[in-house]
Amino acid sequence: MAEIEPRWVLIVDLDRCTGCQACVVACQAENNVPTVGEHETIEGRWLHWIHIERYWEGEYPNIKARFMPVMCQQCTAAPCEPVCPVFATYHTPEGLNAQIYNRCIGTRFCGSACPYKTRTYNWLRPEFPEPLHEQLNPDVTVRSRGLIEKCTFCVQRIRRIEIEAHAQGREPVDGEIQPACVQTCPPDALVFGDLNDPSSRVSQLATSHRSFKLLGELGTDPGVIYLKGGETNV
Amino acid sequence: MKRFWLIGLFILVVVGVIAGVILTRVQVYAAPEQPIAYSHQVHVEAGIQCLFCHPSPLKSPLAGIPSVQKCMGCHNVIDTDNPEIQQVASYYESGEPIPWIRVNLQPDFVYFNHQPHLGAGLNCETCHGDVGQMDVTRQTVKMDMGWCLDCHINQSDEKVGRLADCLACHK
Amino acid sequence: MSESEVLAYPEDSSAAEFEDRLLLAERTSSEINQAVLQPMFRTSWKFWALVIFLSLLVLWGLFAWGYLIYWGMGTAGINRPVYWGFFIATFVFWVGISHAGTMISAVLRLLKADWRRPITRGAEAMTAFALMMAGLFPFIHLGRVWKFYWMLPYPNNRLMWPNFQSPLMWDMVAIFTYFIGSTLYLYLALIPDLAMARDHTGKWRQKLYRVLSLGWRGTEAEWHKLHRALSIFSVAIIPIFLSVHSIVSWDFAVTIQPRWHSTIFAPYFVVGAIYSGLAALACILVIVRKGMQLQEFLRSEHFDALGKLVLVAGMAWVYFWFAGFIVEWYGNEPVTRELIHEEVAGSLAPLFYLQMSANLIPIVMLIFKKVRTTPWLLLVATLLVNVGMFTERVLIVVGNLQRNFMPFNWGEYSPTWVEVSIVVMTFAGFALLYTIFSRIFPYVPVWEIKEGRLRYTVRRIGRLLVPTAAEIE
Repeated sequence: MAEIEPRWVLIVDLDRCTGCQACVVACQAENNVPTVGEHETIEGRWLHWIHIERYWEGEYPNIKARFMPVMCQQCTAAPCEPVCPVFATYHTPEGLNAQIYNRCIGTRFCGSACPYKTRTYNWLRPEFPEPLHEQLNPDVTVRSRGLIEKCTFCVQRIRRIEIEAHAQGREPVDGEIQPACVQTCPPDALVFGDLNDPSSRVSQLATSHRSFKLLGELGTDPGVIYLKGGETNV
Repeated sequence: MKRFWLIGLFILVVVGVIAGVILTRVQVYAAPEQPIAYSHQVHVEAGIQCLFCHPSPLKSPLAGIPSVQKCMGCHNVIDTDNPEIQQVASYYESGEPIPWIRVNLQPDFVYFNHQPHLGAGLNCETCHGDVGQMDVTRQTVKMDMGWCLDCHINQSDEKVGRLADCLACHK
Repeated sequence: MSESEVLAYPEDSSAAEFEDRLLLAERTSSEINQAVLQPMFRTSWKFWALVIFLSLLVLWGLFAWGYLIYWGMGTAGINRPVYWGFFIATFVFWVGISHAGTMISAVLRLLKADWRRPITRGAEAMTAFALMMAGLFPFIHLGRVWKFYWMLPYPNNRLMWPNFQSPLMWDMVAIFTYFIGSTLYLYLALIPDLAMARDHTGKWRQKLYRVLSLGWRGTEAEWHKLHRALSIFSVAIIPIFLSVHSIVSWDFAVTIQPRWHSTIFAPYFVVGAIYSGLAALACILVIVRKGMQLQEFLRSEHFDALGKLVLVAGMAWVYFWFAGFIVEWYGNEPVTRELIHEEVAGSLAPLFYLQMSANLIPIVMLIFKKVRTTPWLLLVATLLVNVGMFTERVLIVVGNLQRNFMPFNWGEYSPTWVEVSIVVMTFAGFALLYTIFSRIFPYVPVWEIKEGRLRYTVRRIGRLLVPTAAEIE
């Protein structure tokens, strides 16, 4: 058993992000996220757990694209948690903002309360057209219509590594646990780890002068830490 | 007269509830009909260990179902005249797996892993009952959340926080 | 004082000016009974046509609801970020409508305002039916309505309980309490009238009334108990009445969504509820009066008084609206600024100006006594209020969700046929319940009117006729 519970943190280095969307695809594959098709996407009903926002900087021809992956911020003081009437979303001992799909009754109150609007809702019966249904992850629930889902920091991977490590009588080492987006990210813009471990890579990066939190002024204390871009020319 | 009707209604409700509970139990304990009349009792009494056929609960989430090859490893020579065994042999020759009906099944939203349970010192019998005495395999407990919690919340203080956490079993 | 004495006031011209207070003074008790009972039996083809029309609308709405459940919330127009749409707006609207009944019967009963007497039943029925319609929406808007019972605290082997931190749980408790309270309140005041109807009807009606009137005989002890119960209820229901719409407002105000996160929301919602509820009551009374020929009971003095109440509530609403708006406008925070801009000059501007004009014009109209006492003008004014208040709820729920802290999460919303059908279903369902109620239960509280008659008498003092009021409650 660990002395203190870990605090899982995801670092997003905006200088390294190229906006390639590999994390979006990896997340979709790992977490059984349904595709909704063109029409529903226009209606604003896509279900991606990560979306990459694009900003243009400067005027043509001296123009630069900036990218910002936004996923559930895993807030410490999460606005979504107290409003759920059935505890479908709550705080785990590891500081994760959990979403228990089979408990969710679909009031969408958490979605209204979330300032980041990263909670997605299964508006219609989810479909996995051929051949996507062949690659559903057995470690993740296939959600039905009428419930909220969101980024879990790939909790199934965290759990599996922890069980394996504990069976070997040790704690997971830094970098051993990798959510699907982190594993996929080609430019290494995403780093995952335990903030309560002072020697971990995320702890080092979090102290950077470039680090900031999304809508930090709201006091939600997110578990996703961004590293400001634009200082180095990549 | 009025009182009679009220009492009658009350009895009807009580009987209905009891009947409903019994019916759900019957469904749980009913043994599904398997493609081959396999008897655990015969095999266990012949001295075969659980882990010989179900090899992986110590190292993986699933215990595993033996392949037809493993069956045939013995039944090439043992009891070959039995029509049930001949049926196994025909599966073996056609290269098809035997379509066993699963007896202990968790719903899709439950994450169950055998490994930590065995690691915590539980036996197979704790959850699966005395399979060695069963001619036809069946579930012996209703594996619902209340049953899981019976153990999970009765743990030491440093463990209970994690074991009673929703994410310990839900995915 | 015996009845004959009251009625035997001199045929004097100066008595006519007190006629309003001496409501139905020239009628005998049994004539009043008949005047209330007769409209209940009159069911022309128009009545049945209305019932069938409303039933068809309800059936269509139920089909739409089934469609919504089967295919999912996506068949409604809601999306990300507008997670809540017409359903919640209509929910707030109906809870608001329900507030007038208690306002009229509990508050006015406590204040001993005598003009309330003929309209209490109509107001209380409105409360009960509006709450039934409001109570549907928490179910309708659930993504997995078949799991609604998880919001009930019942012991279970999973050791799971509902989260009482959530405003939705407060909502559920408040609305259940209010519904039970207001239904009991409606029923208590109905008992003497049901007994009256039992004694003057036959066949199935008599059987129904006999069961419902709980063997009321009208003894002194029974009246004493009824009055005690009504005064306890009148006091007890007022905090509930205030809390219900405050809690509904906290569904919004406890989030950190800009323009929802407002301390003034609770009183603002309560005042808006009273405004729209009283207006709806005036509307309904005008229509029922025409449909059931109740001109004798629902007189211009009642509409005048009700109109004044709507006027006061309207002015209070404007005050609260302005107090909220001015602070947000001066605060000039980026998201709030964008939301206000969207309202007054953006895509929501038509709705905003509809809301403001439909809420403000009636206030100006109701200043004039002519409007308050002319039924069709009053109908226009109060219908406008309800259009305005419905639009206001849509603006609060939908308008404020369209914009949020992060510009890339902004969205638009427009309702689909499913939402419109279900919203129309609740309006039709309300009208249907109300129509049927008016033919099964005495719409005018007979005993209250008779009690009011006893309260006022004209006495001759020397050469003067003087109306005198007695303390009877």
